[in-house]
Amino acid sequence: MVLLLGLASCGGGESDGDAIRYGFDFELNLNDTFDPRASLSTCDRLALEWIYGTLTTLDENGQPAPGLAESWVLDDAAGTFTLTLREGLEFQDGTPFDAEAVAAGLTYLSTGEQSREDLKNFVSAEAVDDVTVQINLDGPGFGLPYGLALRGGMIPAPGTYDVDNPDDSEAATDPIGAGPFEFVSFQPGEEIKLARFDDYGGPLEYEFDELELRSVGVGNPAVNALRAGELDVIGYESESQNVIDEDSSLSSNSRLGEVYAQLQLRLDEPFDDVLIRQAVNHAIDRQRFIDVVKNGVGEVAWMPYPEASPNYNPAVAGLYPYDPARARELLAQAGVPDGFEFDMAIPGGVTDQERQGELIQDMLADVGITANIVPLGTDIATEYYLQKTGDAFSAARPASAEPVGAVEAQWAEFEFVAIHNMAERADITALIEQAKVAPTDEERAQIIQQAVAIVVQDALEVPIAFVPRNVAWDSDRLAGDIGAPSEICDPVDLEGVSIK
Amino acid sequence: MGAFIVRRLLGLIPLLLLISFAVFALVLAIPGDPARSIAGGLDADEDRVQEIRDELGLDDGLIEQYGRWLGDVVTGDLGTSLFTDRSVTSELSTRFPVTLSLALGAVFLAALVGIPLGVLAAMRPGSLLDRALGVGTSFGIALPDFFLGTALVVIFAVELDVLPAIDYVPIEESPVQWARHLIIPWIALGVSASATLARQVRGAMIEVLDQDYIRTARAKGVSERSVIGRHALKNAMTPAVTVIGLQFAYLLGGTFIIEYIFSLPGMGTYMLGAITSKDLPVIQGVVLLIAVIFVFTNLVVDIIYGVLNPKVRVT
Repeated sequence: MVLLLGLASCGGGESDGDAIRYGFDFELNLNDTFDPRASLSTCDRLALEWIYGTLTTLDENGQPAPGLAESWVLDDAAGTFTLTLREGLEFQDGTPFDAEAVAAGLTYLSTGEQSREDLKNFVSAEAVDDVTVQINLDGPGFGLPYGLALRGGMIPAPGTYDVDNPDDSEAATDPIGAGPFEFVSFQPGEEIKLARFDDYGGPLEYEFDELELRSVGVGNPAVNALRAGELDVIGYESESQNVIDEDSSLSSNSRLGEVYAQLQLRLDEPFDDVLIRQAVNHAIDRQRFIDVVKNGVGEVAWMPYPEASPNYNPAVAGLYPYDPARARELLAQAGVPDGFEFDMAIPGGVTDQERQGELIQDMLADVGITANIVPLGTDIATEYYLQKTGDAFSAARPASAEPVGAVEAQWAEFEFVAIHNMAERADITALIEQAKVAPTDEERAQIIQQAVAIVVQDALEVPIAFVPRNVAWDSDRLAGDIGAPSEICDPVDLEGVSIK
Repeated sequence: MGAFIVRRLLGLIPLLLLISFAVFALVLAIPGDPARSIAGGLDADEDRVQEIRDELGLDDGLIEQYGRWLGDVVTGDLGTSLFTDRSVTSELSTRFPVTLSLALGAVFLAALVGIPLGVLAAMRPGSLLDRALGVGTSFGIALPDFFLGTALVVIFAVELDVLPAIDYVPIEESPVQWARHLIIPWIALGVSASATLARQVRGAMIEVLDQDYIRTARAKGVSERSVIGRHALKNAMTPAVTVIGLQFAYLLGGTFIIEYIFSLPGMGTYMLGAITSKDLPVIQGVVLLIAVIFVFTNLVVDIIYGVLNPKVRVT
């Protein structure tokens, strides 16, 4: 007790200074590399985006907007995508952020296992003049403005990478970009320190000098650290809403985007039978899910797009209402009147996901289906997709930057998720390709709706609910409003936020 | 005593060799082609499979692989992570002190609290104090450390704002802040350990206090303080030393949950990430380090036995 009191009296040591401290789970989200080419986790963006910035950005409605590039022109007929950069930009080491550097950077990124997914149909890039980059394509370039807002648009400074020896790049440990914050230091598993780049010429404006990204566990550890004043900003799950609301020193924001809770199906036994898939859809009480897991905040998901999306197809909404009796009928028709058993993978160590999995398990048990929960580690891509751990995956489906993404990624041919879920569909692929070259947004939306109809009618997945992303901050210390991210791997919006 | 220590040290050599081979052989525990399994199974990218095979030297003979691996280990090279490309030795050199700080502090706290409690209970067996301590230690053993840790954070960090909730400060940076950041994790881990130790000490003390030589000492008028402190405690400490050693070794390998709750960048979280991604060099490095520490912890326990009981030195 004496020891405790003595140490307690030695307060301080948590110097805040001019740094905003943003907490999230490094183990869950970061791959310990600062090279966007080598990054194997979409959530590496939580750290990388501050350092590199992106050539384009996505606005509040998820539409491409200028970033480090101020404009672009797509010419599908000529197979070119032409970017015009802002004038006078520099990398954080003083080298010019010009067309030559961007062309070389894009060529480098096009060889990355995941970064190349953001540069669909990329063949080559060349500098036309100091600020004009021409990207040559061998297919539609519709997705590029979206992809350039992700890792595909994060250009490392020349000299930090070697195109001929990409695995030896310095960018992995000593990144230099043209983003609003420079890399200062990295303690693995602990923190990343960034300092404002005064010569940043992009569209974003920040009113604080330092940003500390700190590793903290999801859920109680993050909320307690925020309440104790050791973090300034965190994302949190809905289960912590009451605790945050009760603390008058905290403020919060939520945003309902296109992230949705889902039971993703591997279309192999037992889910190779459409009757079984439809039965599972009928067994899920979506509103109850929202009430129990998301504290009543959310929107029922009947398809991969929310009602506000132009891709939402009202004709197939509500096709599978909660109806356990109907579910049992379908199971009987499928030849499994007593139900069946399967392994349901869930992301391990995330309380919300565990609750989701347990609730789904409970609902399926009511119709005779036994779901064995299999928690996965941090490398979900390897465990669920490559190693085929589990017959289905209960998780939150990340939103896709481009309009076709939600359908394309899961059911189009040659897509990673579709391949490993045995879910490639030629009919959906054909519609997606048509959508990419549609002359207007309206026509594109109509085509995507047709693809959505196939997804829903064939019950290729079990969408459950669109879930909010939440952010909480210490409003005693920070001034300004912090926007909640729209997607799981989006950093919070700290524009206009300052330290009081 | 010196000869005793030398004998024990020489006895470690074959044991360490055996451990090193067992750790190396973890690669054989992976079914099928280890490189393909690590890379992602049947659908794995072939270039990646060959890359892993080259990194692990799997195309060579087993003895050659072991020899090369052992040679590297002896020179301090535990290999490179298959996924982050960071040196395992370098990572462990920053993470091990964190876990060591946790384990040592918890064990120290356990001894500080557990031994006196056990002695007190043994001095008055069956008394109200003894029964109360019995209930208390049962509660302490049953209480999950993660629950206690979270509760202490809410009380001391959130409500009272007198101690930090997360983070680690190296001792060389500030010994006071190092201790402040670890006091709650120490208590969370130490409660259960001290309860176990208290029970062990109580049992051993009761047995010792019932010996003839204790009765003789009392009959000769030796003060109770001397009876307990000089005669009984020394002999009752032997099993307690074993328990402390075991607890220390257990804590070194089992602090993951506490590390996660308090955002401490220790070996626990490092190992967990390696297991889920089948990062074999990291797994081998951590297992080897923990095994070696376990062996040397036993050696220290043996030496302390020798100090406490000279008869042990001649065996």
